[in-house]
Amino acid sequence: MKKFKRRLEQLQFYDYERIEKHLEKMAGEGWLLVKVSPLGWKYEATEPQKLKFTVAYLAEASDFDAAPGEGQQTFLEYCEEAGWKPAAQWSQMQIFYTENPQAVALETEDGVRLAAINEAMDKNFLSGHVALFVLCLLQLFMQFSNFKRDPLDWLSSNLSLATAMLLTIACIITAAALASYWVWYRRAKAAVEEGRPIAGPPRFGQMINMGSIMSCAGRSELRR
Amino acid sequence: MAREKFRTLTEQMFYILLCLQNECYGMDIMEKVGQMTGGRIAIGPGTLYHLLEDFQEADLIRETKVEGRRRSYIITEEGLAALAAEHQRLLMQADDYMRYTIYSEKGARDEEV
Repeated sequence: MKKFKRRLEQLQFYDYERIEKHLEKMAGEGWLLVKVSPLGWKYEATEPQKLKFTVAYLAEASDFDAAPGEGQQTFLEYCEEAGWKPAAQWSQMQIFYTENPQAVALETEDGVRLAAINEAMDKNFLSGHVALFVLCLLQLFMQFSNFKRDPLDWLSSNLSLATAMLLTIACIITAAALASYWVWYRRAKAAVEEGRPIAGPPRFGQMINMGSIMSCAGRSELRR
Repeated sequence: MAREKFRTLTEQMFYILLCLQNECYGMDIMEKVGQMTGGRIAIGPGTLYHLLEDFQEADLIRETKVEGRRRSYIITEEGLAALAAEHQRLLMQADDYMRYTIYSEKGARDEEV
């Protein structure tokens, strides 16, 4: 039997409820999350167990830190004190689990949770997506200029056609990912103000998860 | 989070500030609040961490000492004022309840008038 397995998960960064449920299901099937990296989510084979997962967001955390900063260390200690064990980190997202079904929830106030998610998204996802969207638009504009200059030459080039098609898809996906977050954030903010529980992202947001993967790749290229 | 955000305190904010009238380690706040409220209010570690950061940013509390990674905090004058304002707001709310609830004597009297 395999000791580890990697999966490319179709999960959105801010869809914490779905992530928690997915990880609980995986643990129930005997796969415990140990690492999240650009190569996928790495699971270790364990005995099938009923674990409770929770996802928290810490804006000051970063994948690029060699070791957790002082604030993050304090945060981890608070969580461990309350019985939560760290499972993995995905940029500003911190994933914990516990065997104790009665453990106090990591986040007990939705307003605070939402502010933390928005801060983390602002630092990680939003800037990357906006940069990717602008770059794709710029490239599309350049392709359009080439087309206008010599339409026959442009249309006879497979590379130009493929580039224009891919850029258009990337533009649409990135714009949809940004729109999905914007819609979710507005709804979540209204829910917090009215004392209702925060609902998951809109369905169209879940359909463009592949966009997140593409833009993550784009973002890591930008950061190099 | 600006101080404006703390004009009205949630229950968890209220109890954290109440707890910090005496110097207290961050980690001990969860347990203390549980004891103060008989387990009615539970503060999650993530929420506690974020609120302590926000309170510090808004000058409602200040750090008093750091021992390793254990940090202790105490409420400031601004924090005490925020706590008192919230207490006042709750009293007014309770008073309004007593005045207008149909089950209270006072409420029934007002109704007759």
